[in-house]
Parts: sequence; structure tokens; C-alpha cells
Amino acid sequence: MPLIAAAPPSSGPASPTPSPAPKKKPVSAAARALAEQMRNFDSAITDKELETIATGIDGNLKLGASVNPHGTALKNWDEPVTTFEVES
Amino acid sequence: MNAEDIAFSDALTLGQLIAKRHISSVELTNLYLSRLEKYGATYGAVVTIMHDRALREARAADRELASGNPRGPLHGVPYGVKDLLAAVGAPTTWGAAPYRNQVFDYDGTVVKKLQAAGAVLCAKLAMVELAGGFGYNDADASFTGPGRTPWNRAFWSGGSSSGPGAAVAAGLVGFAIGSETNGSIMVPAAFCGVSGLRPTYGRVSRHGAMALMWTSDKLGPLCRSARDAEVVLKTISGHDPNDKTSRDEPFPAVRGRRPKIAVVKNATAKSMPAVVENFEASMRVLHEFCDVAPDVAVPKGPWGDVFGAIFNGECAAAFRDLIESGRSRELQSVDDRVGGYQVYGSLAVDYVDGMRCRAILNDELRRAFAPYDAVVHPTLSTVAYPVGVPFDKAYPDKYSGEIDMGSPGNLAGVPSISVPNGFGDHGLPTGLALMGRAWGEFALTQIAKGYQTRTRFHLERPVLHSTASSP
Repeated sequence: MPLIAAAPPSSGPASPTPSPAPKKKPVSAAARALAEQMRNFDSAITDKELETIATGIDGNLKLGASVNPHGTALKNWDEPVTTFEVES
Repeated sequence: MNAEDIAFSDALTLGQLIAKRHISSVELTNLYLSRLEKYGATYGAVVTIMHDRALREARAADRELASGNPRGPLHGVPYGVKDLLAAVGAPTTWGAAPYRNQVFDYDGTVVKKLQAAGAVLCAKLAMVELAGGFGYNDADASFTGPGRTPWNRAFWSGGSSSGPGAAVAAGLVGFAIGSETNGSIMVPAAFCGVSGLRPTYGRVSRHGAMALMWTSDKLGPLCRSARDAEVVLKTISGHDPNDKTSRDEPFPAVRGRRPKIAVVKNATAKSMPAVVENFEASMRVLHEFCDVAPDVAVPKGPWGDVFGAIFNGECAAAFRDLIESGRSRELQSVDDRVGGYQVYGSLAVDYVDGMRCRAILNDELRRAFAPYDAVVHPTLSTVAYPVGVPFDKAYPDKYSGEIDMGSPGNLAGVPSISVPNGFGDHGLPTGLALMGRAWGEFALTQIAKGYQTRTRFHLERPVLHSTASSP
């Protein structure tokens, strides 16, 4: 559960609250490819760091499946909480 | 009163001492400056002590008082701000090495408002780097080192407003300004045993503050009493043309009836025994002057995932320049050095869907809690985490899995207050949280003040150690 401003991207907002270590799953090819792109920003990223980044991105890529109101799909007409307004 | 008594007085008492000429603002400012020097580093609470500006403002406050022009209850009272708020006279480091030399030539709106109220800025206070935006997992996540709670310096002061929490608890300032995106006022308030008030989103201008998540960032007070938090909030609130989300709104309080509060269902699930015991004792006190409804459930989420999807997009955008510069490498926490790349690799569609989902969930939360002035729960399920131990290894799993009140409250932008309600393991404080309706901060402070007139936890003082005598 999130308690602080931080968010570990792999699993939603960060928490200092202890939780069981997640079981290791293979990282998707898409996440790995995205992670590789980060070496354009920092060429010193190690293989171990790359694995961590890829794991986090993989978690983010899976967020879409759970971003819905308690298991029901968003409808076409569901608008975001902030909407565009024309200023006079 | 001796110097120690004065240092630990709440801000309203300090203002009265100044107004009655029992102490001058310069004398009080010198007291706090010396305490910041003596204890600030010990608790990892301070980034910059602002001697020149503080004494200049204190002298001005004394002059105005002598000429019969007091500005209000905070006139001459020294305070500190979390180092993500711009202020002339000191760097604004955001707690992060890549920004340690960053300087702004203006004051953030909150600093301006406090200056207009006659308060005296003494220090830029320590914080978790980037307010925790890149996913730190232990207390050592600031270029100033880990924040330590004055109650036991082997334990964390909480984050990301670690310095404001510790400085207020240790009597190093009269009060402090922190910020919260998701827990960053409430957690240090609980871990340091002070009264922290997270305002409604839009109540306080964010102008001059570091952005982490534009749709959730709030600035708010950490104080030694709920009555202080109320006065400081009122002082810093209001519309600011520099922050389009800020608004002038009234402060409705509960009148002509007992406050109605609801206990969050499973509020103490998987909490430490001391947290449970203190919460139950707090409820007995609240029963004396509130009508209490038991077991009110938080609407089903997924709150955490929705928060995460929105957070990822806004955080990555806010720090895109840092991420793309490769300078994340300079951050203190090893998790933060890679965390920016993780949020950068999130999808725009998930951000938008997060915001769509937020609209639906917020409506449900508003409806569920509409009958109550506040919903009550332990601020956290444990006492502070030990410094040097990853958060996820700090306590046995049996204390994890508590009810998540941070994501719902912060996604909805509603206020919350944490007040000290006792002590637990290692002599560390625990917190009682009251979450309210939008713009309902004064209902919360009204209840919290009622609680504090019946208890003494907010008056307790830690035994301090200066760096020289620390183990």
C-alpha cells in the first residue's frame, strides 16, 4: 500500500510497509527493449540495473489491466478527472 | 519558562509570548538557530540554516511590534520549510545531489504568505530526494543522509517531509511546512509524534514548490498541536494567480451538534499490538465528544494501481530532463538511480485511463464518506522503521497489508490530519488519522483539538542528543 510520495513503478505507488518479496517472473521482451533504450541516457547502466529497470517497466506495462473501476472496463464515455477547458 | 520549555511550546504560545513581550522575536529566533545548529545534523533534519534572513525578519517583527503593528498569531514565530519550496537566501535542493546548487530568486507563495503574517524563516529542512519520486526503499535517500526521529535516532523520521517532522518534534523550529503527494505529511507526523495536516488539493498554492505529481501535490503544516496546524493552514491558504488549481474556499466547522466520525472497517488489521491498543484508547476518547459509526468500508479500488498509473506519467514528465540527462546516477538511493527509468517507461494510455478511473472512484469515495465529518484509522500499522534496513524488511509480514487510506485520500484530494496518540515499540510514537471531506479541514482540527484537550501525547518531549554525544 502506498504511504509516501514515491512510487516504485513496477507495482504502483511505493510503500515503506513491508510486503512479501514478489516471485521472480521472466521479463517481457517489450520491457527489456524499452529498458535498453535507457542506456542512451546513461551508458553506465549495468546489466543488473538494466534487469531492475526492465522488471519495473514490465510491471508498468501490466498496469493497464488493473486500471479499471473494480474489475469493470472503462466505457467510451468515461472522462478523466481533469478535462480540457477553454479559457476566456 | 526555561529555554527548553519555550523551544517546545506550540506556535500559538510562542506568538503570545512575543505579543506580551515575554520574549522578543530575535531572542526566540536565536534560540531556534542555536538548536538547529546543535541538533539539526544529528537528526538529518536540516539542509540550510538561514541565519541572515531569519535575524533580518525577526528584527523587522520586533520593530513592527514595538510600533504597535502586530500581524497576527504567528508574528515573530520562527519556522522552517521542506527544501522543495523556493526561498530567497538559500539553495532549494529538492533533497537531491543533482540540484544541490539550485537557487531561485523568488519566494514560493507559502513563504510569502508566512512572511506577510510576520513569521520568521529559519531553515530549509531536509527531505527525501525528489520527495521519493523514484521509489526509494530505505531511509538513506537524501544527499543530507537519513532523517532520524528524535524519539529514537536509530529509527527513521518518515518521508518525504523528514526534516519538517524531526525539526518540529525536536523543538528546532516553531512549526514547519511539508508537502504530501501520497503520505509525505502523514507519515513523518506519525513517526515523529507531531500534528501534521494534509490540506484539500487546491487549498494551498503550490507556486514555488517542486512538482512531483501536479494533480496530487499539496503543501501543509507540521506542528506541535492541532490548533497550530489550523492557524498555519489558514495563513497559507487561498487563491494564487500563479497556481490555477488554488482556490478561495470557506473553512466549515461542525456547529450545534457532536461531530460524526466513522471508524474505517478493518482499521487495525495487521497492525502492531501497540498501534491497536493506542487506537482503541483513542476511540474511547473520541466517543466522549463524537458520534461514532463502526466499520465503514472504503470503496473497492484498485486505488493503488490507479494512483500508480497517474503517478508514473506525471513524475516522468516532471523529471524528464533529469532522467534524460543520465544524472539519476548521482542520487543517493540505489533504487532512485534506476527508478526514474522505470516510470519513464510507462504508457500514456495508462495515465489517461488512470485519470478516467480516478473520476469514478472519487465519486464512490465521496458518497461513502459523505455522512461523516471524518473517518478515523491508525495513521500507520507500525512505528517508525529502523534506519539501515530496507523498508520491506523492517517488520515481519504480519504487520503488512493494512488498509490503504493514502491512495484514496490523495486521489480524491481530501484532507487528513495525523496527531500523536501514544507510544509503542522502541519508545516510538504512533499516530491517529482523521480523513475528512473536501474543504473540511477545520472539522478535522476541531476533532483533533478536542482529542488534544483530553490527552497529553502532543505535549510529550523526546530526550535529544547532539551529534557530539550521539552513539
